[in-house]
Amino acid sequence: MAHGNFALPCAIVPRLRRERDQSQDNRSAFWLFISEHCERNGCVLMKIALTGNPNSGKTTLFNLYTGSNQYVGNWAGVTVEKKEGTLSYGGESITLVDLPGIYSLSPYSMEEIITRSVLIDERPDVLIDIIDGSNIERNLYLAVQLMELSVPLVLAVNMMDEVEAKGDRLDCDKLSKLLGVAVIPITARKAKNTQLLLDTAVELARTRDYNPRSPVGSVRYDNNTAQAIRDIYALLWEESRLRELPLWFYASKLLEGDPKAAETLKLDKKTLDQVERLVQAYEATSPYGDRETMLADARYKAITAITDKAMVKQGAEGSLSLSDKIDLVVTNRVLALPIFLLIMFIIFASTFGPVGSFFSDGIEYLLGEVLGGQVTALLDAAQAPGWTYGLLIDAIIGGVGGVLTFLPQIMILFTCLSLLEDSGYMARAAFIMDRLLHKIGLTGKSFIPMLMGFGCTTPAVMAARTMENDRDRKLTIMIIPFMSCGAKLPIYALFAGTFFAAHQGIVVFSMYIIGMLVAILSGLLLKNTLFRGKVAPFVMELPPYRLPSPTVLGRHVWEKCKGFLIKAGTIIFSMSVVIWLLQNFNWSLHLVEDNTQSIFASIGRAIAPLFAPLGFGSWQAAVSVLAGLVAKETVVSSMIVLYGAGSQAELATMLPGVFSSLSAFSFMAFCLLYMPCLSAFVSIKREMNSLKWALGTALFGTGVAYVVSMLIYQIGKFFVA
Amino acid sequence: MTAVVVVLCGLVIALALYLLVRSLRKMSRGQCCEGCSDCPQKHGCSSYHPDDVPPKKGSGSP
Repeated sequence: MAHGNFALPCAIVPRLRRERDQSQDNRSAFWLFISEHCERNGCVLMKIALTGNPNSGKTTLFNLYTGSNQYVGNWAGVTVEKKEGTLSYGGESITLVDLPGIYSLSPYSMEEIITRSVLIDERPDVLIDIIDGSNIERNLYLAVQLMELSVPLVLAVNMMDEVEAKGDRLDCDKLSKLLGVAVIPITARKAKNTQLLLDTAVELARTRDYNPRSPVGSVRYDNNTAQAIRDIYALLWEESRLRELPLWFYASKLLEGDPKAAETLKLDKKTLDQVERLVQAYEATSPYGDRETMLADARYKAITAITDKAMVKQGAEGSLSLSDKIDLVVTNRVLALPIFLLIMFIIFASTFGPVGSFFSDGIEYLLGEVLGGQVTALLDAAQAPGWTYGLLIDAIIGGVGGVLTFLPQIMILFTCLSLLEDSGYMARAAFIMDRLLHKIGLTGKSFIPMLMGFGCTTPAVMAARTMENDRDRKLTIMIIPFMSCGAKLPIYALFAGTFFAAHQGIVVFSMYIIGMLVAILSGLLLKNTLFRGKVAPFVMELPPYRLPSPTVLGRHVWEKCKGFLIKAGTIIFSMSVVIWLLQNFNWSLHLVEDNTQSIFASIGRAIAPLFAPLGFGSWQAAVSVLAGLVAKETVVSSMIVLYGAGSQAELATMLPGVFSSLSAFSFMAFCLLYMPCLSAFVSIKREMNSLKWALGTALFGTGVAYVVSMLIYQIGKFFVA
Repeated sequence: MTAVVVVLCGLVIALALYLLVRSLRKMSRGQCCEGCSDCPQKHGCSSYHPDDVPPKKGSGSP
């Protein structure tokens, strides 16, 4: 905490306040100076940390308290998000830290390591643990560990509206008495009781100090566990250098077999051996014989003993909720995959159905006939030179407009995908795929970022950070680009609409299936070559099914639409003009009448032979593929410019003269699989922290695209006339 | 009138080149060309610059 010209440790500050409030005679001039300086300069006097399980409502509460006064960055040296904000409370400034969502304080993930580090090294003045009231046992597993840190603690039981809606009753006063810590029921979403929570936390920070000699509150473990922890604590207490640390926490972690705990404490061999003897004696008391399992079991038994007294559930023990009943079908061993494929097929059939086509044709008419017609008339009236027609009509209206005509299809597709995500079904998709992926040595955890790849590769690559296993993370990043992102949709829409008009939905669906299959098979290949190793276990929380909020859904679709329009107005517009320039000027920068003499044509002719085995050896197709390296939509806009078509409809009439149905399918498959766009490439480089790996990913993707496309065309020739 | 059209076309070309350079610079930082507003990973991305009000003076530094 820094203010003015010097810094004060957070732990001192509550004492400052108490000293300032005491009689003038007892205060030293120094403390008086410090506290008055702090108040005068609006210094931060308090730090509150928010912690809890993922999806418990921490961020909702954080946003409620801090509003726009937030700072978002990364914790030093890692890519885990760090969120801090300030709030004003009774004239003083409080810092609020939103810690990453974690399930325990074991050092298995970066989020857990970060949270431990913050809570022990930075030691906030008070900790608020947000508990999901509808899943209280699992959430209390973290709470009982937080209590061992000896930092003043308040438990906020969130989602009380859902608890009440289920008919369950949670006696928070009783829970508070049993745990020995303050428990406040809240509904963060509706700001219910959030002021009381803040008041309680602040009061606690002012009146209680960090006391490493005892945990906060009390949890009754079984005698063996309690005694083992006490014995290890006594051993650690003998070393005076450790007495400022939360030794109850470290004692339980050493009992658990936490390797980081021993490392942090820098215990000598003699102490380590003594601890190990105590732990082995503890293990001998149980048939489990495994320290980690025993301690987890002890914690859950203690938690159950508490919740049995404080909570009354409406439903019978083991009764199924509506979400559970739906999951019996949706995640059924036999039905799950067919249901998933059917849902995806329905989505694509809807996307390319009559509604999308109607609006697409409308946009085409407005841009091509109306706007294009008006601009042509203006240019005619101005007796403009011929090249201006090419620039304004072919490149801008044709190129940009040709991509804009697919806006309705993109909106329909993203509405459907948002519906699936917001309802909670996408989480089930990852669970369904895990069963399949595990059989071939991959993990379902890879499928979550892969699913995000249906939207955009760049955030999907970043989402792979959740994978603790570095090998699996790199492997996942390498196969994410095979998932068909939204930017490729105009390519499919153009070619499927031209060559497979009666079966557009099926053909586009097949592209997504090919993408997933290639991703899985590539993953299998990489897993058995570059990334050998054990399959990481996959544990995930299935959120309950929810009816998507129309407002949230509308906002997602609007943001997607806005993003698409921004892209059209910037990169697609600029690439269309640049392609036009390269197609109408030669290397001497003279305007050419015959575009086969242009810069682009000479580049295209040099690389076109490479694509001949794939069935699309024209120079226009070759340079369109190059243009797609910047943004995939520009494949379509560049084709419109290169073929001199004034619109997407006109291009559609020209394409059958250049492509066959088979070569069109081959071209779509190549565009699906080859190296991702520039921003995705940079994202891959950043996440892998290596240009070499990023280039490897790009080359691997392009190589796979080449092989798959070639196989489709060469084998397809035997079956298609 | 012809001159006006030619000048306008020139400006369009200049605008396109400027937008291309700007877009390529953004992409070279790993920023999507669709913008960040609906990106689910924006808070974990070093390329994201929120447009909200900066923290008030005197508040604790991160």
